[in-house]
Order: sequence, then structure tokens, then C-alpha cells
Amino acid sequence: LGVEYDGKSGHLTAKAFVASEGLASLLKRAPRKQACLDFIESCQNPSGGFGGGPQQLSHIATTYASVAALFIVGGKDALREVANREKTKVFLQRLQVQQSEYGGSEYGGSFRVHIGGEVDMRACYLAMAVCRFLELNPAEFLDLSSMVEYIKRCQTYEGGFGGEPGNEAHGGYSYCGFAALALVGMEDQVDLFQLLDWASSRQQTYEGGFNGRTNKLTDSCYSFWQGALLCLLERSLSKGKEERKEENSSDEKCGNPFKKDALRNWILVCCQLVEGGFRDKPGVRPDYYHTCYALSGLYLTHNANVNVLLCNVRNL
Amino acid sequence: MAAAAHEREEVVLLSEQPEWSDVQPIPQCEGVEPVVQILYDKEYSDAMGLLRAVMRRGELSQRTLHLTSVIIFMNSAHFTVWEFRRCILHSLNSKREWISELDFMKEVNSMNTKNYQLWNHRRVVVETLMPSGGSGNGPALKVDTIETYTLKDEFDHLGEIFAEDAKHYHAWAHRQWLVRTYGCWDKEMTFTKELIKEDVYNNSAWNHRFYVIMNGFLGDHQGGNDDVFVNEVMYCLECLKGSEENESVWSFLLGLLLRANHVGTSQYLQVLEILFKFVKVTQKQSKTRAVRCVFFDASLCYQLALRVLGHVKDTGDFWKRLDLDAAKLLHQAVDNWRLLKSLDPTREASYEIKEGLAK
Repeated sequence: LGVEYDGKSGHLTAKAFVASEGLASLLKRAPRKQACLDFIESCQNPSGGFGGGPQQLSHIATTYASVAALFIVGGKDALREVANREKTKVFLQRLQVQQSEYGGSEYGGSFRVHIGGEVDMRACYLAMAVCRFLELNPAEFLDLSSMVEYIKRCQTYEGGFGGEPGNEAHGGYSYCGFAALALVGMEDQVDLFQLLDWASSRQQTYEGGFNGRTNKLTDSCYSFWQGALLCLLERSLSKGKEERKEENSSDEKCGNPFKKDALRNWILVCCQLVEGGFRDKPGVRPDYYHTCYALSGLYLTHNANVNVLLCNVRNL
Repeated sequence: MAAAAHEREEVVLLSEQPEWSDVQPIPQCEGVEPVVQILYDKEYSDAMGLLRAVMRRGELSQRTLHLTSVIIFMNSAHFTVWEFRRCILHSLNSKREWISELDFMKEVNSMNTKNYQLWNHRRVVVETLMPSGGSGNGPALKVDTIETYTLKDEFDHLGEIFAEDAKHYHAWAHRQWLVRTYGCWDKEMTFTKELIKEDVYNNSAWNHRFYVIMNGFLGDHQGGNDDVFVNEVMYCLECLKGSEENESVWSFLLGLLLRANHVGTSQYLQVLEILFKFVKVTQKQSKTRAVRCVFFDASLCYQLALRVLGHVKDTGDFWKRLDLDAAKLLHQAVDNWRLLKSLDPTREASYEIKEGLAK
């Protein structure tokens, strides 16, 4: 990691996650396990949550990256040993926007990404995912019904979800919104048919890959955001609510949500580099972010296990 | 004579300057065996060392404000430093300093315009300089400057951003925040119309237009309005001419139709008739156009059927009053999806799912 990564020290934990997730999808285990765990531990704050690096403000994205990286590198044991569940609960509670706060009518139910930080859809997913990793029940200490109302307000006339109520339907935010609902079993609260209309239209006939918004260009990272969204959506449409609640199956596969071989070809033929790594699209330099999400999208085309998308640490 | 600035051999370290002589920098602790180590520039490590020290002692001053500028220019995504900067600004409580933020943000924007921290900071700055009334009871700003900042200035700034990137997500989100926070909806319809004229495929503009309509005209705020509904439909048909495959417009149309339960029944039925006819004509023009309009037709039929059958909550009895045949609509939807499976194989799986839903 040379000098060109200077601008990203606020996201060391994000890099650890992205790099180790990318690696872990390729290899079965990540290198230098204890060093990784020690580093992640050094990013945890006494007040709860993890920052991007030591002595940084806790941020919900870096908290997600940290717990996910802990699990990838060291399994449930690492989570148990390193992550402070009680403090993390407090952290998440502090971040949730109350209806009574300023801006409560717009943001109420959603979460800030850090104290004093922005409020948008990413935070809802990240908060729910963190709860899953740490096997916390969000219903016990967070206001789930207002979170669901917030997510509903973010569904646009196109069917996808924007970052904030009224914002344009966007792949990243749509995944975050729908996955947040799926993690708490509340997918039926939004218009699934309209979501299917929008999400299925994101796969481009010519390229095979997905775009993030209507009339925009294909980008390999949406292989995951849109692909995974469709996997979850197909599951919600084909299974009844009671069926979905059963968490016994460690082997629930993605069905037939989109044109898998078309996506696979886009990723491998257009986005993979001979020297390694994946890029957004031909003509653009590769980076860790696109490598992580192109690989994750590729995984979806190979009989993916839905438990991975639902952060079901018990079944993995 | 001199080498280019970036080739200079002498590195300026803040910690070595006289004004920082009282501060002992704190190095970053990365453990015995660093992982994901970043090879920082000397200037950056040095500035961060100072920052860790002043944050620990909680110094909120002019020099620490300057320090956060230096660091943010080197690493504009460092959210901890942006937050510390705001603590300093609140503590200094100076209107002049908050106004200076505008130039500072402009500088950061020129380095990277797609930055969450920047746009979050911008909202705080705008709110501080132009309190909207809901922001609580902070101390009044020290008025140490005659400079003012207005909404017009802010819209001008957004205009510059859109001129470079008419689909800039953060900028659109910011615009929506501005418009709803300050209640300034009046220019938005014209604004979106101009952008659509420049690029009829600009989905961000269409989305914003829909947002404005729902919060001003068709939505609950102003009750039903036949004129707006009809005008918007005609505007859409106008925009589709020559680009009948444009997904943005078809989605917009469908959105209008499914939220028009405040307009007159006969108006609505007339519009439906026009649209179904339009679909039949467009279908014959080309395969791409056929896919788009048949897709629209199928979704519309299905969604209407759901409403007629009372499966969609909170929509009143408008749909029943239309006196449409739900079974016929569902049948039309299914026929369309069957056709689409051959016309549009990319989405074959979803048409399969939809057929299942209709049953």
C-alpha cells in the first residue's frame, strides 16, 4: 500500500474489511490472523464502536467493517473476544435519530454514521448488520418501527430506494434499505413489485452488468449491490414470511434472480485485469472497492448461500 | 531555476514551526506487526501527530482550526478531523469564521466533489448561517463581519456543480434538503425542465421533478389538481417523442398514474385511454421501444388491478370508482410478460416471478 493511499487513513478498517473479504473469497483463510485481530481491537473505542484507525471517532461503516473483518479472519471466537457487545449497543442507540430531534420528521428512525455525521440509508443497513454479527436483537434496544418507516419513505416512484427520502433510486442505497429490512424480517412493508420493476431493469442487455441508477453507466460494483438485492428480493417474493423466519437452513441458495452468465461475463471479461484486481469498467484503474464488490457479485453467480447476505453467523 | 514545487526537497513540518513548539506530537500506534499499513507522507504524519495531541487536550483555537484545514486538504475523508473542526467552529462562535467555511469547502470540493464529509459539513454551515427555525437554541453568532450569505448564493453554488455533473448525487440530495428546509419550491419546476431540455435522459432531474410535484401539487399538501396531472402527462409524452425507449419518462408516467387518486375520474380514464393507445403505436416502432412500453403497460395493468381489488392500503375508493375490470387487467399484464420473455430475455427471470404474482 503505497503513498497513493494517503487520503484514506480514515478508512483503514474499511480497507482491512474490503481486502480481507476479497482475499477470503479467494482463499480459505486470511494471512497474519493475530496481527489483524490486534489491529482491529485497537480501533475499538471505550465509548463503543470502531473508528477507521486507532484514536479515531467511531463510525458505523468502520464498525461494520471491523466486525465483519473479525468474523472473516477469526470466526465467532474473534467476535466474542474482541467486540464489546454492550458498548456497541450504546453506540448504536446514540446514533439513531429520534422523532423528537431536529430533523426528526425527515430522518426520524434512521441513523447517523457518526456523532455529528450525516444521516442516510447506509447507516440503517450497517446498524442491522452489526447487530447480526454480534447476535444482538435490535428490537430490544432500538426503535425498529421508525426505522422501517424511514426506509419506506426512501422508496421512490421508480421502486428503488434513495439515500434520503425523496432522493433518486440508487443501487447502493437500495441494497442497504432492502437488506436492512430483510435482516429484521420486515421486507413486506415496502412495495416489492415496484422494487422488482426497478431492480430487474438495472441489468443492462448489452453489457450484462448492472447500473446503479436509470440511464447511467454499468459499473462492476453494482454486480453486488443490485445482484444481492435481487437475490434477497426473489427470496422475499417466493417465500412466505413464516418460511423466511426459519433460520435452520445453513444452505439456502440464491435462486434465479437475474441473468447470471451475463453478469459473470461482464465481470470476468470486462472488469478483471490480467495483473490482478477488478475495475469499475474498461478504461478505469482497478481499486480495492471494485475488487471486493466485483468478486462478491461473482460469488452471487455461483450458487451463493443466502446466509452470507443475511449475516447469519450462526449458520456459516 | 527552481525545480517544480512538488519536487522540493525541503519538507515543511508543522511540529517544527515556532507556533507549535509547546505541543508534543503523539505518534500513531499501529501495534507490533502493522497490517494494512499506509506509507504516509511526512507532512501528514507530522500534522496528525499534532492533531492527536491537541485533541487529547481539547484545544479549540485558531491554530487548531488551521491544523484541521491542513489535514483535510491532505485527506478530505477524515471524518474525525471534520467533526473536530466543527467543535472548534462552534466554540469560536464567529460569523466570519463560518463564512470563511464557504471558501474552504470550495477548495476541498475542487479536489474531490464526491465526499460525504464535505456535503455533511456544508449542511451544518448553511444551517448556521441561515437558521431555518428548527435548529434548536444554540448561542447567537458573534456578528464580526458585514458579509452575508443567502439562499440565492447557495443555489448558484449548486448550479455550478450541476453544470459539471448534472447527476451529482450529493448535490441533488443537498438541493432537496435546501428546498424542503427553507420552503423554496417555486423555481424547481422550471429548473428541472431546463435540465431535461438539455438531457431528456437525466433521471436525477426527473426524480427531483417528481419530488417537487408530490410535495407541492399532487400530494396531500395541496389536495387534488387535475391540471397539474394532465399537464405532466402531456409533458411526458412530449419528452418521449424521438426517444420512446427512455426509461426515465416511462417510470415518471407510471409514478404519476399510481398517485393520481385526487384527480377527477373522467380525466384519469381519458389519460389511460391515450396512454394505452400510445403504447400500441410505439410498440410497432422498434424492439427496444416495444420492450419499454410493453413493460410499462404490464406494470400499469397489474398495479391498477391491485388497487381496484383493494389490495393497496390507504388509497381510498378512487380506484373502485374507475370501474375497471381487474381480471382483464391482470390478463393483459400476464400476456405482456409472456411477450416480454422473448423480447427481453435479460429479464426473463423477473417476468417469470411476475407471472407467478399475478396468479
